[in-house]
Amino acid sequence: MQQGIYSDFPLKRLFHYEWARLWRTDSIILCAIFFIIVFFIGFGSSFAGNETAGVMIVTNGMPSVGRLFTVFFVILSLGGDYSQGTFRKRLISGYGRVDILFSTFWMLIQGVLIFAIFAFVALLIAQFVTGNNLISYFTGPKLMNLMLIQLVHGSFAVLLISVIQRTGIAILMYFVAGLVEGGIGIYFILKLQDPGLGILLPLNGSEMLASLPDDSPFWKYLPTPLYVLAFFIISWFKIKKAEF
Amino acid sequence: MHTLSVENISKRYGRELVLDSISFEVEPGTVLGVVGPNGSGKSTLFGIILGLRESDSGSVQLFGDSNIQNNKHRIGVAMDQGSFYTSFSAKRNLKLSAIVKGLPEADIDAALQQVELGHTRSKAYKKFSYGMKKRLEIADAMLADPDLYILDEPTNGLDPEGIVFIRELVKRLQAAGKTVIISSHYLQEIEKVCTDILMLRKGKMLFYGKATELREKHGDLEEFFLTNKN
Repeated sequence: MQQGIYSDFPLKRLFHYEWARLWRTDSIILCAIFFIIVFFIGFGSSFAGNETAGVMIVTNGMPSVGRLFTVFFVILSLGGDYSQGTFRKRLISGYGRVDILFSTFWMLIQGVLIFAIFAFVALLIAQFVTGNNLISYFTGPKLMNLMLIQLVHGSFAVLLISVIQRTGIAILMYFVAGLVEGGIGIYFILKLQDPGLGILLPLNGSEMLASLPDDSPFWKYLPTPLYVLAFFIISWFKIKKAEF
Repeated sequence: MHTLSVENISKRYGRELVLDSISFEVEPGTVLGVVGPNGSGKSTLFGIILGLRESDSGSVQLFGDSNIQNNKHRIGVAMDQGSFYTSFSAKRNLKLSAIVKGLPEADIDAALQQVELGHTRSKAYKKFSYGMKKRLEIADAMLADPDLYILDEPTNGLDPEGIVFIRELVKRLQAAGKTVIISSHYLQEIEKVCTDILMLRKGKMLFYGKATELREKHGDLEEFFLTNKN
């Protein structure tokens, strides 16, 4: 009998496992290729002389694709674990449910950081090619906001797949949630005459943070981190109660 | 010290009693056959032993320890439903298992050879036949050279050749001093390899004891099973 996971830090092995599987997963590779294609479309537009379009694609398109990438990344990896029985296998191997959820969130945070670095490098290259001062776009608050958007969408994806456990339906529900939020946002604007209330919504609210005026009250910054925390806690309860 | 000790386990799903005060003990080196029709509670029992499900009452001890987590590294499990990434090869899947269990990759080839899958190590899991998938599950269970094997329906859906292979494998494990718990619908198969029998029906324990004792008292397993139908 060999000692196995009890001979060293178990979570380190779980992180190693996550990396070893994710970069070999077809759907994840496809998402990454799509992400890179968007970057090169923006880049190509800049080369073709349409600098404004190129800059728009790199500065706005990439965060949007990055957000979708994060959601797909989470739903496909956790959904695959549910459908292929590999979640159960790790539990049998001696890991706790909280270990697996924690490793998923850790991967999400790493993914967000990698995205931020990639976006920064992309802008640096685009600045070098176009001669525009694009890097000024990447201010500290903007960068934080970008990461927070990825985090809130990613943690919402963790919640969806933990509750639904079906990849296709979870992805569908993500888009439905976006539509529902859009509807509520319109209600805030048309009926309540206060578009600022959109900050209270989990997905759209995170995207409004960057445009908040400097003298905004403190509470307006609170909903997004609270949603991330809430999504984590609800996911934990769902996974804790799930039977494999 | 018992390898496994189950005491008064009960489990309900809603109003349905799935396991009703199940108690048994497994000694080292035993091959215990858990038999019963679909819905008899075999999978639920395995789930509770492995810590995947919680029982409503009772307790489980593995190697004398009531904290199952402490001894999971001493168990090798082959589940009935596959638990591998379908697009990965057999070797990559076992490599992931080795990472999770903290084992050297060098053991992977040996495990594949033992279940006669050495020649298909690079083939994607989704292209495996049903029998090959079963064997890969067992190779995975063998990776850590565990003291206790839990094999959930290993012969289910296999052709005669596959069934003979599993039977011989169980005999080899027993000869190596391993404890094996094996569930099956095939009563004759269980009789051929098991030293002990646990028979379940609708969550109740019909019989638990030595296979020889069952034969002496009640004739063969199939006869006993059919006479205790209700």
